[in-house]
Amino acid sequence: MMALPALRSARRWGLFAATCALAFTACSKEPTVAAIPPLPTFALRDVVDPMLAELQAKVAAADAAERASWGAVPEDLDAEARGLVTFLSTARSNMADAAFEDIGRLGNHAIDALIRVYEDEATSIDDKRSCLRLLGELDSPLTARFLSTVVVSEREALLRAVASWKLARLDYDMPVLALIKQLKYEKDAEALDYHAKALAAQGNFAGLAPLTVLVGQQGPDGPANQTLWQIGSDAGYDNPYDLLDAWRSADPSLTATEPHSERFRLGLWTWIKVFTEFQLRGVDDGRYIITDLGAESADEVATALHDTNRYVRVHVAQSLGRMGRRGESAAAELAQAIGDPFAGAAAVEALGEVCSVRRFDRAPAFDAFPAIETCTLPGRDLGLQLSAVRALGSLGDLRGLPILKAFSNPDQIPEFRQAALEGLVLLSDLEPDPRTALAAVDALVRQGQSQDLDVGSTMRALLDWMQRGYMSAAPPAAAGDTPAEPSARFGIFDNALKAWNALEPNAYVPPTAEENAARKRDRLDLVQDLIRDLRALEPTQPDKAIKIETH
Amino acid sequence: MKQAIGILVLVLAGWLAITLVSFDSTAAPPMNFTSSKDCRDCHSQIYAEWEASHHAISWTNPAPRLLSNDFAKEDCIDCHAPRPIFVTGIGERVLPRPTRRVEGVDCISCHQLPAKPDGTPGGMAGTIDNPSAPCNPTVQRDLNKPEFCAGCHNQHKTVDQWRNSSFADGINKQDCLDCHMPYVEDANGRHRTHRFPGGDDMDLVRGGVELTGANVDGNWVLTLTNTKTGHSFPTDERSRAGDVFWRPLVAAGETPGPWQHLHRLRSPYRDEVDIPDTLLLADEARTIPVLTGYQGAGDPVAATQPIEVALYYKRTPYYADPSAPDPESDLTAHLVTRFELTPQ
Repeated sequence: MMALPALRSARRWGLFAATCALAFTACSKEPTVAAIPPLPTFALRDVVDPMLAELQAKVAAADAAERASWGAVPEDLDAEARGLVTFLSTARSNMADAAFEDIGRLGNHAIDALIRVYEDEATSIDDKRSCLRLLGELDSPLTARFLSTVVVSEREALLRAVASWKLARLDYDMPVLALIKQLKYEKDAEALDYHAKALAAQGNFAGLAPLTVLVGQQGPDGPANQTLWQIGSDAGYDNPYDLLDAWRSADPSLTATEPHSERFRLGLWTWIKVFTEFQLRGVDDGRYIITDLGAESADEVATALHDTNRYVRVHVAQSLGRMGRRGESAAAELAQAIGDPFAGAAAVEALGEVCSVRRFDRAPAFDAFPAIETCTLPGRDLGLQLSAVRALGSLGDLRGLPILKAFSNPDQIPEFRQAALEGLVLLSDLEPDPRTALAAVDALVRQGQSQDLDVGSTMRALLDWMQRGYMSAAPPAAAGDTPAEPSARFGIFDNALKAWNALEPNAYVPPTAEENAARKRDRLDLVQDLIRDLRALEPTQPDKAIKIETH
Repeated sequence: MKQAIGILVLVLAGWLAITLVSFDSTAAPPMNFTSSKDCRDCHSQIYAEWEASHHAISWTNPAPRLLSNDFAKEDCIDCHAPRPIFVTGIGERVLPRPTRRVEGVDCISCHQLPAKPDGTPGGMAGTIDNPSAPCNPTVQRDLNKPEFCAGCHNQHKTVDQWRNSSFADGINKQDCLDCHMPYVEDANGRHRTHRFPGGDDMDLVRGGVELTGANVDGNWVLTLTNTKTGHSFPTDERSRAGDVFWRPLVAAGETPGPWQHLHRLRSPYRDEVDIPDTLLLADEARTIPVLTGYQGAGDPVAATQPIEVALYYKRTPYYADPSAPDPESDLTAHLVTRFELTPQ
C-alpha cells in the first residue's frame, strides 16, 4: 500500500493494470517460429490386399485354363513318368533325346507326375536331376513355378543349378523373384552361375554383381569370369562391366518394355505383403528381391507407398531407395511420401538414391532436390531432417552443397554434422577447389574420432572417396608395349587402400571392442596420412579457399 | 468510488498476473527428450545400470556389427536402434529410428510415449504418475508384459519359446522381468535393475541349465536339462550356440588332450540349410551319449575310462578352426560347467 499514493486516479490504476496485463501476456507467449511449408499429404488406402486378391483370382483362372489345355490324362502316367526318369538316369547321353521325346508325348500332365516323383523321399539325387531335365522339356508356367521352388528350397546345389539351367531355357518371367532371392543365399559357385544366366535370360542382370565377387575369388580363368563375359556378350556388350554399369544406372535399353506377367506380379505382391509380417527375416528377403528388380517394376511397387499398413510403406520406400536409379520412376511418389510420419524419413533417403546423379551421367527426369531441401528446414522432425541431409549426399546435386556446408558447421548436432560431412566427402568431385574437398575429408576424419557417433557410414564414405581417388589417378591404358607410368597421386591412393584392406577383420571371429576401436583409429590415421601426402602434392594456396571448418 | 474502482482494477490485474505466471503442475507440458542422456540428471543410478547393459551397446557391440556387416544388413537395425515401442505399438514389430543409433536400445526406446495429437510430447511411461516431473511419467502396466519385449526379442523367437514353456503359465510361472529385470536394493531403494542380465551374465546362464553324466549300460551318457532359462538354451537363435565337449581325463600334472566336440545347440541361419535346429527347448532334458568321433559320431565311450566333460556357451556361433574347435582359446566361448566322470 506504500505505492498507492502514486496511483491516486482510476486512470492511473487502469494504465497500471493494462501495462501489467500486457507485460505478462507478452512474457507468456511462445517465441515466434518462422512458418515452414507443410509437407505433402496423401491419402492412404488398402492397396496390397485388394491387389493380391485380384492377382490370385487371375492366376488361379490362368492355371485352370492352362490345365484345361492339356487334354486327357494319359493312362499309367505315373508309371510312365517314373520309367522315363529311371531310363534317363541310367541311359548313355546319346539316348537322352529318346526320353525327352517320350516325355513330350506324355504331354504336360507329366509335369504333375514328375513333381510327384521328385517329391518322393525315396527318389535319389540322380533321379531328381532326371526329373528336372525332363520337366525342362515341358513348356508350361507350371513347370517354371516348380523349378522356381527347387531353386530356393532344394538342399542339393546340383539340383538348384539344374533347375536354373532349365529355367533359362523356358521363357517365363515369374522365376525372376525366386532367382534373385537365391542370389542372396547361394553358397555354391556353380549354382550361382546358373542363377545369373537364368536371370539374364529374362533381362535381369542382378546376377552380375555376385559373379564379379566370384571372379575375385576364382581369378580371370575361373568359370565365373567366363559366365560374366558370356552374359555381357549375349546382351550385346563388349565388356560385361559396362553392362553392369548400364544395369545400375537404369540404362533405358535394359528396361523391359513388355508388361510383366500376372504370375510375376502375384509373386511381387506376395513379397510386398511379407512386409507386414512380424519376422524381419522375410522382410529382408522381400527388400532384397525388390531391390534387384528391373526399372520397369518401380512404378508398380511405388503404389504400395499408399497402403494403410505402415510397415509396407516403410519397407517399400527402403526397397525403392535400394533400387537406386532403377527406382527413378517412383520419384514423384516418394516425394509425396515425405509427409508420411512413419515412412517419411525412409522416403526422403530413397529419393536421394533413385534420383542420384553422383555416379551417373544421365540426369533424372524428376527434380528431387526441392522435396529433399524442404525436409532439411529447421522445425522439421529431427529424423526426417537427418535423413534429408543423408539424401543430399546420395543425390549429388550441386544445389545441395551449401546446405551440407551449413549442416557441417561445428555448432550443429554431431549426428547432423557427421551426415553433412559424409555428404560433402561423397560429393567431393563437385568441389571446384580440390583443397576444399580435402578439407571436408579432413573434417570428417576428425568428426569420426568422436566416441558418441557410429562411424560405419563415415568409414564407407571415406572408402568411397579413396576408391574414387584411386580410379581417377589410375594410369591410362598402356599404349603398345609401353605401360603408362603411375603418378605419385596414384601411388598414394594405392598404398592407402592396401593399408585399409589389410585392417579388415576376420569374417568369422568378432573383434573385441578394443580391437574395433583400434581399427577405427588406424583407419582414420591412415586417411589423415593420405590427406597430408595429397596436400603435399598440391600447390600452396591461401587458406581462405578452405571453406570447411576442421576444429 | 474512484478509489474502489482502482482497487478493483488492481485486484483484477493481480489475479491476471498470478494466473499467467503461477506454476500449474498438472498443466506443465512434458519436456521433449531427444537423447537418453537427458534422463541421466534425474535418474543417474538407473542410467548407470543401463549404461553397463547390453541394451546400451546394441549398436556398438562388435559382435552384431560383424554379423550384420556393420548394419549393412538393414533388418538388424530395427531392433538394435528401435523407435519408441509405445509409438510402434506393444507386441508390434519395432521400426528403425534414423537418429541416435549409437544409443542403442535406450531409455527413449522403452519409455517414451507417443506425442499428443497437437504434437506436444506425450511424456514417459513409468511406474508412478508424476505430472510435476519434467518427463511427466504416467503408470504404464504394459512395461511389465512379455509382449513389450516381444517386438524385438521375438524376432529370435525367445518370447514364443517362453510361451510354450512351463514358465508362461505353469508351475514355474515367471516372465521376462523376473529374470532379466529383477528387483535390486541399493542406496536408491528397491527398483528393477536396468542392467538387463542375460547371456552376458554367466551366473544367470549357469543357473539355467544342468549337465550331468552317468554310466548307462557300460557307457558314458550325458543328460543336458534346460531347467530354468524359461526359453530355449541358448536363445537368440543363430547368433548363439552351446557346445558340449569331452576328453579323456589325465593324471594330475599331465597335459590333457584337445577337447572333442560332442554336441552343438544352435539354430541355423537361413542360408545354413544343412544344419539342423538343435536348440534345447525350455523344460527339455536331452540325452547325449559320449562318442569317440566328432560331433556325435563314432563309438560309445566305455564307462571304464575316466573322462572330463564341459559345456560352453558361445556368444557367436563360429570357431577359428571349425574342424577342431578349441573353446579354451576362444574369447567368445564361456564355460558353463565342467566336471569329471570316473568309473565307480
